[in-house]
Amino acid sequence: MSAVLEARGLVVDRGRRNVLRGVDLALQPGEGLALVGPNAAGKSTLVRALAGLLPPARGLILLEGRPLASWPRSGLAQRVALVAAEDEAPDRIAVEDRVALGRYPHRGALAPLTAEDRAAVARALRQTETLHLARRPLGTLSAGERQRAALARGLAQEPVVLLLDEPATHLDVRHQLHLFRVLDDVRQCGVAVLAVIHDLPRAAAWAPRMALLDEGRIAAEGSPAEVLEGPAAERAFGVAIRGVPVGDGKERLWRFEERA
Amino acid sequence: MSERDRRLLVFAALAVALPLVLLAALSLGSVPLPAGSVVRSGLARLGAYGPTPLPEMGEVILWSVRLPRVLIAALVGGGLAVVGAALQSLFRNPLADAGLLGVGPGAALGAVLAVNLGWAQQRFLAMPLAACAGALLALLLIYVIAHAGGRPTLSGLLLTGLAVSALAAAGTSVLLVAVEEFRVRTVLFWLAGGLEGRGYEHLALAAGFVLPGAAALLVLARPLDVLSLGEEESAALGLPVHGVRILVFGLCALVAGPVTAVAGSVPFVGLVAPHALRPLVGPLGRHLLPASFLAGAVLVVVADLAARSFGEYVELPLGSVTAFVGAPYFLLALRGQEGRG
Amino acid sequence: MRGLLLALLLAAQAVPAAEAPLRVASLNLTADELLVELLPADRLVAVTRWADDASMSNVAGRVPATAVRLPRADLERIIALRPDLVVVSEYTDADFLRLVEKSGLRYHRMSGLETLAGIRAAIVQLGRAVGTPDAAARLAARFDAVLAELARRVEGDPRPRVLYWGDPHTAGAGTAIGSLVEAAGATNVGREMGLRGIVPLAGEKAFTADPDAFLVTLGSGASVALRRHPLLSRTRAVREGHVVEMPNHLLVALSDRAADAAWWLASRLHPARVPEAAPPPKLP
Repeated sequence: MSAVLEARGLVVDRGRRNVLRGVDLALQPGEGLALVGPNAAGKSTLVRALAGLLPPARGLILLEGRPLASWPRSGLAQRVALVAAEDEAPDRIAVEDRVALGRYPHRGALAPLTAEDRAAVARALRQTETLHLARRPLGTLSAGERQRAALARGLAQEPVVLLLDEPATHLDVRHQLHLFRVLDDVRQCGVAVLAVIHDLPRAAAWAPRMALLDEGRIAAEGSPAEVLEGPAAERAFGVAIRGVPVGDGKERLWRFEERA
Repeated sequence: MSERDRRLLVFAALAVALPLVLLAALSLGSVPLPAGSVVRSGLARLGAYGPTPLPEMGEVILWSVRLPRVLIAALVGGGLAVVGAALQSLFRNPLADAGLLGVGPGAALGAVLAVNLGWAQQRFLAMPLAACAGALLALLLIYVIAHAGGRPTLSGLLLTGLAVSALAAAGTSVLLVAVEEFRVRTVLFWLAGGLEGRGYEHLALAAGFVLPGAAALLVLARPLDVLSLGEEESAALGLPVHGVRILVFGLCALVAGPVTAVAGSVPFVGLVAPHALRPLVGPLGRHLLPASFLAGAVLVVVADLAARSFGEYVELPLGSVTAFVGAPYFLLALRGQEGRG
Repeated sequence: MRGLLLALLLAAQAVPAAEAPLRVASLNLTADELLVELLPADRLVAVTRWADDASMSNVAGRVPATAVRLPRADLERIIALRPDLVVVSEYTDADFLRLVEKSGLRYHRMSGLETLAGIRAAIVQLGRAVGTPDAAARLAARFDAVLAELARRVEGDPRPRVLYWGDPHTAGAGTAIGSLVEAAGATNVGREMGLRGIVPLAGEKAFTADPDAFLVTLGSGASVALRRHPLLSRTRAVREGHVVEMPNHLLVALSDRAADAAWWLASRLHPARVPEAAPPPKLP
């Protein structure tokens, strides 16, 4: 199966700083990948570059086999949805209208929303459990509710690739678990999901695959156990990491200790 | 009341208010005309209902003097309000309005030049056209300077606008100081805002820019909504952020420049109308822009009526009337906002 | 038969008068002053609000009661008065005039009032425009006579250098005030300095110009300002008390009264030659 989104030798600069120094990463359809790494590793930069927001200095990004630069703006946005950690949406806009803006790549400036669009919006609201908040202005929501609304916008885009940057920061435990279930549901429909997750145990619990980004390169890739128990992870995070199998041995409890 | 019902009610109220206010403005003034006669005079012009009941001088006052003036007032108000709403989306700040564009001072500079060179006394339409040219040159200057270092950020655009405004204002001051005394008064009257002596040619000038400009902004309503989500999210949704920003900025200047050229400086309309309407019709462009247009038109028609009714020796400057009402509203709104934190 | 012929002749003479504009509205103070002299009371429909103000108008107290005092140039009210002619000033804005025309009114624009010759011409033109050429000719004749007599009297006397001071404006070439000063037998320092129009003048420049006398408006506070001015209070003119305070209505007179204003000024500058402040009623 060929990758739906792929980075080859990706080098990205931000200003004069060289952040990504040759990243190779491939996302398959229906895959779930957790992107982890220490602060300032370049995770946010990588996600934005994959979304087409930052131009590569060198290297290539391929979407469905074609370079990102060859895709028209709307075509790209119809396929790749980015849900960032910061939500700058205005306070007065209602949740439903905010989510409906996710249909913009499909509809453009003038075409009225079709029944199909409305169905996509409703589905996204249901999936994120924000249907009951549909007409509430964003300013009246809690941080977690706002984050779910932002995710709903991404889902409403009906993308083939869903890129998430820290989607769970403001979510309480129940909603975090729910989030990952939603991501799995979406993967069932063939959507490739890449999520930057700070919380290593959480990431390990969810993600079938994990990639470790350190100093601008993919330092390790594989199952969470493989990545976290490898030497690259210790080097990257500067802590000793041990996974203790629990239950039937499929899950692990992770322990972190400061290194001497 | 549901959101949708409230919105419909507001639109209905505005749709009723505007013609009523227009009728009032056509009837009232230093020579009062009965409203019924005004209506029948209008019907007579359209060939219905027999001859006009107004005496000849009433007809002249109504059709040559008042009608163009009142229609210009509506266009000025509508144009400034739509521009205010669009800029508030663009800058993601509920306090943005046409004053940020730099077109006001640019227009003032053009007007002062026209007065200084004597064109305003000699050539018909010289002052508004010069003011228009000044406004558009200011826009061009802002565009060129802001792009000098590559694509400007939003704050870069804003700051360039402020700098060009300051430059134009400085030029205006220099000209005012050096100019003959009676000409200073002409300029000051223009700067304070007013529609005295504006006829159908001014109406054509205003309408020629305001109507297409406002329509174009309405077409951009959804992109404006997307823009209000923030630069990153809108780019990720496939919006050409820079292009849309420049387009909106340019359209706003094309509307505000000629409005200022015809009516002088009329502050606060662009702030008050969208700000007051947003809680009632919601922030989405497709509702807020048309509602703002209607509300702005009503506001300025009423303000112009007040300006010509309450001044004894001189018409009250239109800009002062809108400021007297707008500034207190603005301060109260600001306090309300801060209260909510 | 003879009676019929006489009647026809008189009727024929009356025809041109019927073509002249009957009702005239004035939006300009100078025109107010002239029209009060030129027109019978029932033909002067409107004047400016300054016409009754003694500090500005030379016809205060003589304006017919039937003339409407217009507080401002409100086009609607003007139209309502149905004048046949509207008299406007030189600096009325072209856009306003277009609207006046569109409203079906005719207008006459006063112009050329920066020189005495221009004022005289304006008197004659106005008389023609309102259909009273003879009355205007009489005003112009008196104007000429006053100025001629004045010129005769001050001839030979040294011309003092006079600077008009409007705190901080002065009058250069091409101004009525400048022409006034020159007709009064003085030199206009503003013109000497190469200035044109009523323009601001820096204190230092006024000081170095060292005029023989300052001309200011009576009651405007300019004379007090001169005495308090750090530089100008030290000029020879101020120290020796050569500050001429002229009543405003004379200083800004642009009608036939400009000749009287020149006479008044000359009486201050050349007291030996021009002892009376106003021209004698019968002129040689």
